[in-house]
Amino acid sequence: MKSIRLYLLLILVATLILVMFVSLLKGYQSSIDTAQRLFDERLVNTAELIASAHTGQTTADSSQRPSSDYLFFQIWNTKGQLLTRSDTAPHIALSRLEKGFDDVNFNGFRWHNYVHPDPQSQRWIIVGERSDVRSSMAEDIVLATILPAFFGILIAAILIWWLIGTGLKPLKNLSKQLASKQADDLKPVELAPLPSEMSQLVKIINQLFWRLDQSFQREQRFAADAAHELRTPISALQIHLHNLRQTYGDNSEDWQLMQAAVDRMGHLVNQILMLYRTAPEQIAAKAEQIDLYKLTSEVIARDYQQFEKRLQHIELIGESAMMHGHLFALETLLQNLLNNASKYAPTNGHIVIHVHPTEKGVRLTIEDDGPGIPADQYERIFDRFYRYQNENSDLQLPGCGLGLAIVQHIIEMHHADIKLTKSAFESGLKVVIDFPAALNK
Amino acid sequence: MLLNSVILVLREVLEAAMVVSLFMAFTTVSQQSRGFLLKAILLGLIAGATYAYFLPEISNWLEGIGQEITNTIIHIGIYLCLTGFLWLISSNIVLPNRLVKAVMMAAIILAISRESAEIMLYISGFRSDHFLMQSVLSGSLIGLGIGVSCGIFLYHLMIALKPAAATKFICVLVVVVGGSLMSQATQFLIQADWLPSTEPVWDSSHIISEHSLPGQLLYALMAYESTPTLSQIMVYLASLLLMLVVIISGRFSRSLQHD
Repeated sequence: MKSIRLYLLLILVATLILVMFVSLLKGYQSSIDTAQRLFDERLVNTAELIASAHTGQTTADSSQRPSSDYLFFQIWNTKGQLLTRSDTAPHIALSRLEKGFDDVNFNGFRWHNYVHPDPQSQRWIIVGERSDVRSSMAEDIVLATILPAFFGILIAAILIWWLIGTGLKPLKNLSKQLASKQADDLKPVELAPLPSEMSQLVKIINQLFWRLDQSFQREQRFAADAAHELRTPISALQIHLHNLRQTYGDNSEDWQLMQAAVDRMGHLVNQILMLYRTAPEQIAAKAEQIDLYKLTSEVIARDYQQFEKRLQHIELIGESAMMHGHLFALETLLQNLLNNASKYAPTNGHIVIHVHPTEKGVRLTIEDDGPGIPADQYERIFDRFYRYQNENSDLQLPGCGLGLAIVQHIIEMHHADIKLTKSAFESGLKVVIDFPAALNK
Repeated sequence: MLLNSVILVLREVLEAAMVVSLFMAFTTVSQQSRGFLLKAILLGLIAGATYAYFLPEISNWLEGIGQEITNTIIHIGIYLCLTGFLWLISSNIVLPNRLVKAVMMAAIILAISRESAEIMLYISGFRSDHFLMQSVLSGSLIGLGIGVSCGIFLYHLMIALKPAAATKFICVLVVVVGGSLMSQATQFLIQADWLPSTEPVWDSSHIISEHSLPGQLLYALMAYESTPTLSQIMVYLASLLLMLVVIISGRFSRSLQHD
């Protein structure tokens, strides 16, 4: 069933047509019978009228009689002589001289005759009417009652279509509300007035939303709390490691590996925390007007040390570009992308950032001259915990594989588009992000 | 005249509506697209108009029995399509299948072309008689309305069943309609004097008259005749038997493939 409205319309109109047309046929049959009876009575009356009007014994002469091509009469005496007749009547008796109705063929038509005996004047009057004309007259009368039924059905179909539409409105409203809900909108559905047939459905939907909301919140609280709680012991671990190295002056490979592992754990916890801080409801609720160019320059200035440490040349080109977004999320996005660029660009490498306003919003481009990523890996690198390892490089870079997943997450929240291509340098990656000017559009 | 028009149009529409609603229900139950059915209906109407246009000439073929022979060929054509359909869906095929669609389309085009040609020819016969035209059109409209409504009910009855039961029910109805078509084809051959006209085997007109509404419904469903001849009964039973054999052999070949 594609549409409830169409199904109901079809089935109701079919029922209406079936019931109405079968009743019409029954009505038609009985109306035709009644009309035929009336015509028969008229024939009898005509015969009696002719009998009373014509009392003479004149022989057949029709020149003075009024004529009709669908009606005739003949007057016979008991000896079988034709006394008079109408223009259309022949000289022979069209029915046997016996009282009653009779059907005969004459002059290419079927005739319905009535033979009337007149005992007073000892005569027989035969009155006949063309059967097809009788039927047509009867049908004309009955059709006048049938024709409005066709229009009635047409009007009923339109009314049914409209009434079903009205009846299904609450269902349509519910479906509209559900369709227009954002992925993060778990507020209960409200329908007013709520038909009793739908109250259970709405109740169950709202219960599901509530349970989903609760489990989301639980999950977020757990991840955020766990990450937050883990930060303190990790920080303590980092300090103790530093102190131990200072005390024992040991700079062996084991110490360095332990340090790297603890740093990686700290980074992972920070990224998980960031992922949950950029939850959709937070982004939508705390969106504001941001100058992305200004924000980018601030993030570069804050993290300048990491570029300086590796003697990398970082360049920001562009102009003020206003957009609607979440400050913390965009900071995280820039941080992750610049971090990645710095990580993969070689020592003395180059990183170029462009920020420009466009017709639809703002374009951010980050290019580096690192080894780059093959095109078939572009999709995969956004997967959580996926880390691309260049086969030709022995370089083991720290990371947890969450950075680009967070970038993708923030991009989705801002309804932006991200594209990866080769950079303008000899090698390297170019990341192009198009932000819309306004959020939630 | 109105009643005659109702009976004639109802008889033709019911036959076509049976074939269309059976296939429509089958496509719904087997979750196939139904666009091709609409195309088949339109093509059937165009073919019907063409057939009606040339019918005066066709009637003069074979010394005046052209129409009867053409109608017989069309009926046998529909019967073969229905038999092919039964064979395909009984054997091991994966739906949607092009061949199944093709036989369904062919059956609908043939059925609608013949029935619509009869209706068009009947109505056009009253073109010059404005006196009768109104009642002929009213009767035709009533017949069309009842026929199409019956088709809609039949379709919804079938799709209300569980898919497996619906498919079985559709097969049974296809067999019954197939037998009815062959019985009508026999009637045409008797009219054309290609088959001998024998005495009726029975007369059940006092139980169900051919001219009553139930009589028309039964005629459309299983070519009900109150006074059938021996040749009609024999052909009817033979056609049913052939279709049943086709279904059984189709299922047998499927079970062999599975083994």
